[in-house]
Order: sequence, then structure tokens, then C-alpha cells
Amino acid sequence: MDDERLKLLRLMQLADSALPVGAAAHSFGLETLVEEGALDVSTLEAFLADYLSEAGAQESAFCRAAHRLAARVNFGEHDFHLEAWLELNRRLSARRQARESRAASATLGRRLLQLARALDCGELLTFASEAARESGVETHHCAAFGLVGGALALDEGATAEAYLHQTLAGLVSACQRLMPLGQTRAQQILWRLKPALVAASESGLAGVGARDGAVETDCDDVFCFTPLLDLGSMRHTSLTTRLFIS
Amino acid sequence: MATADTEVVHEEVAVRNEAVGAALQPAHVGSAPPHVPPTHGRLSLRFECAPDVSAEECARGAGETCLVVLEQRPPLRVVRAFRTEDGAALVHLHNLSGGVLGGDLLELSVEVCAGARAQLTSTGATRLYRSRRGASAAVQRQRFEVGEGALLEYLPDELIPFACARYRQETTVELADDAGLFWWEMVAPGRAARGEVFAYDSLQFRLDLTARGLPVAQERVALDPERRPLQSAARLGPYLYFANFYVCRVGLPERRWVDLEESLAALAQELSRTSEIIWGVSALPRHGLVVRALAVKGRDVTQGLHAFWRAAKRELYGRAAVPPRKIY
Repeated sequence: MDDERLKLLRLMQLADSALPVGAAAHSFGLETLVEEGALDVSTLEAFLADYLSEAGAQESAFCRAAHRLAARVNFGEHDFHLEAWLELNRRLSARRQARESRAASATLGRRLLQLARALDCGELLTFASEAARESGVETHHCAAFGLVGGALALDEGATAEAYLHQTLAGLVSACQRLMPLGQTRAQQILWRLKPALVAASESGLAGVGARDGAVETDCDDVFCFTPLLDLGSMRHTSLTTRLFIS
Repeated sequence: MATADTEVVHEEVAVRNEAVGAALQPAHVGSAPPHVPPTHGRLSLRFECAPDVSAEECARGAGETCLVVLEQRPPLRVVRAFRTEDGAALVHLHNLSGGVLGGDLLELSVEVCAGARAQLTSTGATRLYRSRRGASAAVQRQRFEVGEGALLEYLPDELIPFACARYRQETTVELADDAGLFWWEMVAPGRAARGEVFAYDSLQFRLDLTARGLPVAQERVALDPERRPLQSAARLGPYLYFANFYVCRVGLPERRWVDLEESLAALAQELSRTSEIIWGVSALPRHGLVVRALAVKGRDVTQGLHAFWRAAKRELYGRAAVPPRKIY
């Protein structure tokens, strides 16, 4: 059996927006923006392109960093660097300051790791998720996705791009429920944003690297500025009717 | 009150004044700009309980906090500390240049020892001047250490980035057990009154807030208005000013922060007016919460920050928030 073909099929399954981790229940603050008139069908594509260049780049970096932690174990170069895995997730928690979005990301990450364990994606995932639980550290979706990709020896860039694609598809799907966005228009937006997605993935690659002798997973040089969306998440609880958990 | 003014270099101040004048001129075209020596300002401050009081007495307001100036090198300077109504030491941070110039390296180090209480503010808005073509970005490094049971209130006026300004700010805040923090920052779009909005070249902010050595809040923000438009709904949308306000007290249980988030969220809703100013509150992963604002007018943000500070301080310390006395 061709190993590369199996890898591609596994990645397609993990990146399917129908993967049962609960992503469809979250808008990550978009619901507030739509409700308050800051976002509509005419501005959605430009919004998502800018979102990718900020949050997408950040998530790509953390996804890639987690991928490297697992991939190095695969290649037999290192033992799993547990403290780096925990620190990566602590940093993500510290960066995702809106509580609802942070909790959503942690829930999706935890469920993804549970599912990957059930799919026999490797003992490393069991160890990493148990250790995080015992340490009281939330495991975020982008990091969990990267770790699974690394454990399965999938390509790092492909893993980051599959993660971003799944996230983007989830946001577009949420918008179809929040605004008059038809299926064809939604698919056109997803189609046209692929170059922006690849650019975000590459920005993440630039931001993940080592600096001043720091471990290569510090993600210190990736930037993210999405204050309106963050405030949308913080203010989501005050909406009178809500379709989404976040 | 102990003071140790270790270094005052008047010649450097004179050079700085020339530099300010030069920076306000239009950028040079076709000729090399006159040489301005790079500036490395340093200010190192320690706040400690008065010798005759214990850290516990000092923390509950029964004793005075003293300022020790470990180092000050122009253009950064403090003149003296004032005793606030509740016994904390209030210090105004001065920049003798009147603002931050391209190429400047400014370093601020503040240690608030166990039980001590410090309030820091600026003497006015921090102006980030135009950077000369080819000059490196201005850099400000700030390091705050807050000891066990100590309290730091860092309440500066806003940053105003002028057209063509390039600025990088690196902040670390380390909190020990039961340390408290009220720390805000507000960034203007530019000299808005003269229509100069988002005309700066670049601003970069790095913040690492840790408690007991673990991350509580982290910011990595890079603003480049020309290449990454700030008016995007993914960034500021219709708003011009942004502010972050961190409220921490190490060791309080998570439930307490979620409750405080709920009560401050009511204030946020009361103060928010869509398209003018919006406020949000969120519990951080541990030991604190963050209040954020986006606004069209800066004055609305300042008033709101004081309202959140008053409410949070009463809840966390049972004390009134005493606004810093300004000397301008």
C-alpha cells in the first residue's frame, strides 16, 4: 500500500468540516459582529482574508510548532518534549484573551485528541492529552491538529493548511446561518481565499522559528491583531438571542 | 523617603533638545540628515515598604511605600514620589525629550517589593515622533516585577504615533503570590485633531504578563496601516482608538474572575454605544481579567478606564481608586 496515498486520505478525513469535534457550534465572535452590523455578505470575503493574515498566521505557527514536537519523536530524534507541548498551549491560552473563544478552541482541541486516540493515531497523543489534563492545561485546536499531523507523519505545511482550511470553512458555514449567504457564493469565497490561506500558512512558518537560542516552538515572532472580533467574542454573552455557543 | 540620583547628564539633555527640533522638520530629501547620537535612556525604580513597617502592614495601607531611584539616565527621569491618600507611592514618569524619537532606546525597570504599593503615570500623552528615513525604530523596553502581596497601578496617558513613526515596545510583567496589578495602555490613531489618522509607519507591541512564572496574558501586535489596513472589520473596523486594561490579583480562584467578569460586563454594556465606543471584559486563563475598548474618541476611553478601575479595585481590594494627581 502506498503510504503517501494513505496519508493524504487521513489528512482529508481530519480536515473535513464534518469531523465530529463540535466546530459547527461556534462562531468565535462572528455572531456579534453580524448582529451589530459590522459584517455582512458584501464585506465577508475581505474580512476573512484579513482574518487569515492575522489569526490564521498565528494558528499556523502554533499548529506547525506542535507538529514539530510530534514529528521529531516519529523520526526518533528526540523524546517527546512534554514541557514544550504544555508551554505552547499555555501561551495560546494567554494569547486568546476572549474567554468564550478560548474555551471553544480548548473544547475542539480536547475532542480532536480524543477522536484521534479512538482512531489509533499513536500513543503519543494519549500521553500528550493525559499529561495536559493532569497539569490543568487546555489543549487548543490548532496545536492539537498539528500534534496529530506530526504523529501521523503528515507534511507540516499540508497539516497547517488543512487546519486553516477547515477553520475557514467552519467560519463560512457559520456565516451562512448568520447572513443571507448562498451556497454558491460561500463556495466562491472559499475558493478565492486559498492564496490568502497559503500566505497565512507561510507567515506562520516564518513566525515559528528559533530566536536567541530559544526552543524552536516559541512562536514569539508571529503577530495577531483582531480586536473587533475579540470584542465580538467578549460581548457575545450579552446578545439577546444566540445561535452559537461562542 | 530614600532617593539615590545616580546619574544626571546635562550635556545629553542639550543634545536631545536639538534632536527634538530636527525631528519635527520634514524628512530630508537628497542630503544626508545631520548626525544625531543614538539615545539610550534608562530608568530603574524600586518601591519598598518604609523601614519601620512590615510588608503585611504596608500592604493593608498601614505603612508608607518609599521610592528608591536606582538609575536614571536622560531623557527618562522621575522627580519625586507623592504619597497617595491610601499610602501608596505615586510617581510621574518624565521624558525630557517631550516624546520618543526614532532610534531611541528607552528602558524602564520597576520593582515593587513585597507589600509595597506603587502608582505610576505619565505627565501627558507619549508622543511617538516621525522616524527619519533610514533610522531604526524607536524601542521602549519595560519590565515590571511585583512582589508578594504588592500592588502596581500603571496608568499612563495614551500613546500618540505621529506620521511616519516607527516604534517597538516590549513589556514584561511578573507577578508573585498575591501580587496585584492594574495596568492599562491606550493607543491613539495619530494626531487625530489635525486629521492625521493611521499615518504612522509601524507599531509593534509585545507583552508578556506572567504570574508565578506561568503566562497569564501575551500580546504580539504588529500594526502596519499601509500594508494591513486597520479599518478592516478583522482589525479596528470603524474605530480609531484601542485600549487594554489588565486587572490581576494572583491566587484568587477562577470562579472569582468569572464573577467579576460578569459584573464588569454589565458596566461594559452600559458604557458601550455601537459605532462610538465598545467595551468588552474577559476572564484570563488564570489570576486576572482583561478589559478592552475600541472607540472613535479618546476621551471616552479615558473616562471608561477610570470607571472599570474604580469598580475592580473596590471589588478586589475594598478600596477606592485614587486617580493620579497630574502636574501639568
